[in-house]
Amino acid sequence: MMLAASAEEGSNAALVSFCIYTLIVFALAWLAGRKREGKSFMNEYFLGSRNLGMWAFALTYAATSASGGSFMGFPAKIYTYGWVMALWIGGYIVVPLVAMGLISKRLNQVARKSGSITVPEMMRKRLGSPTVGQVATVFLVFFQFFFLLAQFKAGAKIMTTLLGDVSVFVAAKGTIESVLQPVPWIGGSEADGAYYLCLLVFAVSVVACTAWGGFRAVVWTDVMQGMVMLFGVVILLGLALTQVGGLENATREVAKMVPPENGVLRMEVIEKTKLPQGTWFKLESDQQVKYLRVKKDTEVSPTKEGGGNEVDVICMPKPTDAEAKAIESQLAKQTVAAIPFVYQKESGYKYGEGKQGVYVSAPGPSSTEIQGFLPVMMAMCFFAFWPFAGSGQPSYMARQMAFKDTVTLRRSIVFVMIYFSLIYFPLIIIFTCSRVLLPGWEIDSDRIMPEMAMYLTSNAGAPWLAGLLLAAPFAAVMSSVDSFLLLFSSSITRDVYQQKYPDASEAKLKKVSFAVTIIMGVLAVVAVLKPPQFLQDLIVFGSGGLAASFLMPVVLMLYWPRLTPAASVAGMVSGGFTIGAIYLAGYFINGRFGEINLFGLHPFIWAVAVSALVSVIAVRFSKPTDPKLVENYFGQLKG
Amino acid sequence: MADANQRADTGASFRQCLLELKWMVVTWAVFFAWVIGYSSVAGYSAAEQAEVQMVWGIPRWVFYGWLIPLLVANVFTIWFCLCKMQDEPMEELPEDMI
Repeated sequence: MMLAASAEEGSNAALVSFCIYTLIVFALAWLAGRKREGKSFMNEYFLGSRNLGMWAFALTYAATSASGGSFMGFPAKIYTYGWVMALWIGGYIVVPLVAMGLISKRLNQVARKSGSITVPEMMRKRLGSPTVGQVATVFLVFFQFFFLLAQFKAGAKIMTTLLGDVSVFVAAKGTIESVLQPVPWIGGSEADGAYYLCLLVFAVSVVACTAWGGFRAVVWTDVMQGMVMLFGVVILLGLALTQVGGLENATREVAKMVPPENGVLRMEVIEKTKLPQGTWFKLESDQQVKYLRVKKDTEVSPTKEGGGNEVDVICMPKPTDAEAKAIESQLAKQTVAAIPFVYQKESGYKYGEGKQGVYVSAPGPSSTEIQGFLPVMMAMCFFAFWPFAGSGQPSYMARQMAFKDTVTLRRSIVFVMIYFSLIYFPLIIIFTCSRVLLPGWEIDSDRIMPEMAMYLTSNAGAPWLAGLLLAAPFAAVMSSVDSFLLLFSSSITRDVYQQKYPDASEAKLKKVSFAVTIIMGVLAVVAVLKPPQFLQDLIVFGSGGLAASFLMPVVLMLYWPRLTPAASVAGMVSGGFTIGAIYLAGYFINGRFGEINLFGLHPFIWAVAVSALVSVIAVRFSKPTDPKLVENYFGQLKG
Repeated sequence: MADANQRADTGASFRQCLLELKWMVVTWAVFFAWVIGYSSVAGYSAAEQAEVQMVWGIPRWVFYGWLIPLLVANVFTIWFCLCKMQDEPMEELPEDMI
């Protein structure tokens, strides 16, 4: 009922095109599985026989990089903070060159020379120490798992929006909620049948696709998904600009907006009434109009004492003409009966409250920080974070091991540079427009991407197109999840199981790989049954943790002949623990999952600095690496 | 494994990779100075302006502090990758990996 776009007819059409897309993904996985016959299982299943050409390497890299964060978390942030997000993501202008170029060529050479399939294996062989490989596996699995959780949540959320009004889905949702009613933890009044169902369907499809097809399936689907993402963004951009009346109009409108307030509505009803998430209320007083929006599904009941019910809302205190027009059109379609209420403000933004211009300037509005969303120091940190954290991601490193030659690498960097420019700049424009077209989505900003796709296509009279557009973020999520699952199975199979059972047959290794993929999928589903609220926080923690643990040890391993096994372990442990400790401190200080920024610096900067320092110091006090290994990987260093 | 697999050009390849790494770090530093330097002045003072200043519908500070650097970075990347980066012969895979 929230939007006209959510009509069942539109949902059905979107569902059909989305199903076709999913079937193609499955077909590619099946074909990839067949192609594996007659080749070394480990080399083909985990690295596609290291034979990726430009299109495959560039698009699999880009698609893995553009995760749920790019299509769910990033749009949510643009919606919430405005144009300052261009500065937040500023470092992306050098991501392809730095993140791909910094280590790719050398990493590929060392991986080939050592015959390595995984990052921990390469570290173990380069430094001649099983301990290095074991520690790397532990950190890889731990931090990558957090990254994986965010993607599972994102995948389920997209499906929830897509299927929202399909009658079969609505019925299934009701059945699941009633079945789960008595179940502790996930049942009760807060049970979300729609989310559980979508999570299950998403998990089964992505796990099956990955387990069957392996690396080649992931790459093939990434190529298709990368193209879907690009076309999806281009179409969205055209629709958004047309419907908002041009970018200049959108920016001018956004410049007039002020951030919302948090508050409660007190209301008394004569019978039980459901107020779905997103229900609008209008408050008129002294020629001033305020709009209030319900934050989550709420049921209000008659109360004996007459004290009334409290409903959490956000309030648009000074709506612009464009906001008022958009909200009034939604109000006209609402079916909830008029209920008398009293509004009470509870809190406002700590930076930007009542202030115009905050959505078109830095540091951007913030409900929690008095210095705003992005102080200068944080802007600096993020400019370092994106390219260098990108270099330190094992999931990207796996791809960097798989390109066939350096010509492929050079052309792929150029391709990804242009590709990212065509994705990220339009995303900022699209979701700046979304503030004008769909006001009030601060209640659940992670849903703005699918909501925007449904809204734009419905208004354009092409609801079936929503399926394709929603396939873009879904493709981003799926391509990341399958890569991560493969990373888990390769690490555990190669670095744990095969280390313990070196003579294990290929058939046995295949079974172990499949089992690990399935187990990790199940664990992820269980972990996100109660989804964490902030998708982007999980992503930044996961990717920051991986980069903190791997960036310096891997860069030093590739470029510094003197690095020792003990120094490598010390670098990983100190980097990983530093970022973990800072987030833990943040949890105790702020009462929620999120980092604290010591002296205005992001935890990633601290962790990488600590990791580098500890590594360098540890080299001085530890046993040198076998000189034969050094010569093998670095050649004759003098002369 | 060490001596038997040693290629004559391993050292040269390593040194070329190291040189390219230095180029990339310097490139990052130049764009860091441009984007952060310009935006930290123009972007943070934009909130105080009565009317938002725009170029093609984009806030002026975003246009000069992000979009133009993005375009320059594209041109630089194309030049660096196609003209400056050198190709290296790839290492042979161990036989059991083929």
